[in-house]
Amino acid sequence: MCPSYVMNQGDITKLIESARDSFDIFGPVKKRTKHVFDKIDDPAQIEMDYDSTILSPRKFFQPPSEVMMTFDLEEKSVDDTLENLRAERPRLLLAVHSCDLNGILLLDKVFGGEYVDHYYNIRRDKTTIVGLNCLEPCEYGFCRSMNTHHVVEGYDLFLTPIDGDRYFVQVGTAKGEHLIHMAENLFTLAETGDVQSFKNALKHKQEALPHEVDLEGINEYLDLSFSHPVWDEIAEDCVNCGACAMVCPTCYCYDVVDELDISLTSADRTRKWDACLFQDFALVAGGHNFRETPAARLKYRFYHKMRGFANEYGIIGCTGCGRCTAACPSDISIKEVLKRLSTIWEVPVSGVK
Amino acid sequence: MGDNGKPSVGIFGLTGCAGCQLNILNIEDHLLDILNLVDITTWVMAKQENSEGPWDVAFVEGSVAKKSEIERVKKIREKSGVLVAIGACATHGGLPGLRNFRDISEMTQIVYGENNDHIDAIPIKPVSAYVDVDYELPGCPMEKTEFLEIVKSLVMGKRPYSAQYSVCGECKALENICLLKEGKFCMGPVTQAGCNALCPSNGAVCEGCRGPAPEANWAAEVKILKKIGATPEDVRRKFLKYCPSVAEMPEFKELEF
Repeated sequence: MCPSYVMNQGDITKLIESARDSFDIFGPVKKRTKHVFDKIDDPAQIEMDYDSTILSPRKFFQPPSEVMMTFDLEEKSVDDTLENLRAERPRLLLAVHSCDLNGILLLDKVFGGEYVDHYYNIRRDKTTIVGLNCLEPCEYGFCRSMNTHHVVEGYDLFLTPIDGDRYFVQVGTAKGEHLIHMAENLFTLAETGDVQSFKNALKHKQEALPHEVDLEGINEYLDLSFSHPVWDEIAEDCVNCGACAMVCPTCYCYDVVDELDISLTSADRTRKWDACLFQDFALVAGGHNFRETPAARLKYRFYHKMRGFANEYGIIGCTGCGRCTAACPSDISIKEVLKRLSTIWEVPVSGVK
Repeated sequence: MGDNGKPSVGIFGLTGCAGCQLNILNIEDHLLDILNLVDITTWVMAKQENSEGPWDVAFVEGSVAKKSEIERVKKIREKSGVLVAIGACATHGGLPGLRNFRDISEMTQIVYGENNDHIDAIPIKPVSAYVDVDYELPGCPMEKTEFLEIVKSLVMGKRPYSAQYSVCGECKALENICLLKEGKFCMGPVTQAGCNALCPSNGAVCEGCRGPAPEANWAAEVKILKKIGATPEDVRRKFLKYCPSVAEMPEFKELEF
């Protein structure tokens, strides 16, 4: 068991300075009124006290668009681009909240499970993650309800703000330990008083984060409301734009497209983020669409997150980060939908829909 | 096929600003690649000697705004194997279609004065109102990347790729701040993607120049815009600004503003 440390909150910029020779460093920075995870060139850019980011850290491990293979039609050769990925500089990802650490753990199950996705895993292996505890609720999140407000793994270091000006630092892995050694003078071993401050912080968090959605019975109430008109009602507001899927920390669907260069001598195989809200998501050769209507697509998005993902991976696929609600042009709130569904306990309409 | 075995191509302009044709000329990095694949036998904007057809592929820019243009576009259609409408004017009527919302004889008089007998102006319509159109490249102007994609696809005999979703999908993947959330009247949720969210990425709202996305939920967009303060007239104008042909669609007629 590694010891825990404390560091001054202001020293995060010094940590960035110490680490920049070894890593490309990313963290939350301001983008007009919002925050985004972006490359930190100037340590002063980092904003540790942020609510949420527009896109989740998923973008670091499965970018919105990436070339998976290149084809040279004259040489008749194929390159899977993995060597380029392996040659990239290691990355340090700073200030990742608990909900997002849990999101990354869910993606690990998808991309590191039965079918190992090398593109994802190379990036994952090359990334060191410093987590950051949230002691106050954010605008749209409901992590407490989804039990993602705390983490037991998924971080290399984990920071909890204590005493207003310091972080209590937990070490999760050897990578985290390595980071400590990189800037040893910034860290001191935690003492009894620090541990008490840490406990106080956690107690404060326990009181501050609301528990809003009852997950008990979620399987039952989802099963019972599968044919309920509630889905058509929600679909009236849904524009099927897919913004919710783009910002989601656990959405992982992608489309693969082969693009031939205009010279017709080379080609790229590119994968791009896809969304189950898109019309052609479940369209197959021959023209059949398994999810023909927008209402059906919206419903299946919910059922996959809340029900199907759990069937496959043993855990609900929503981290309660609230990004989908923040992003929805129609202000559809996943939290409110869940609350509403939990009140519908009816005998399902007969027949298959 | 042209004499050299390459598909013959004609590029034509009806009523519009000619910006889409210009945009083809602007594909400077790949113009020679394009000419390796096809034989452009007619393009008045760029060539001195132009053939009278037939063409394997015709690209038609601009809206049909005059009686004489109906005949012209029909002739192009008769002489072409594949017809591709390029740009918002050709696909949805485009900005010239703003004329449709005023009295046409009054407009003719304002612009051309009393002696306007030679003007055979008719209500603006897209190319598809008069002839069969095989493919449409929407947008004001048409996207260069989509032009390249369709040239490649036609040469290879495959169906060109096009995004089946709205601008929001691209906009979010680029991590833009939602302009609707800032109270700006953005058409992103209901507008066909493919422009890589060019306007919102630069802080300007989507004007809907690429026309409706597949199964666009217009009623929801109307609700969103009104919620952030748009008047019914604001909303109507937003929908019709670049795409006056939308006014003819039953889904549009059913909308409550």
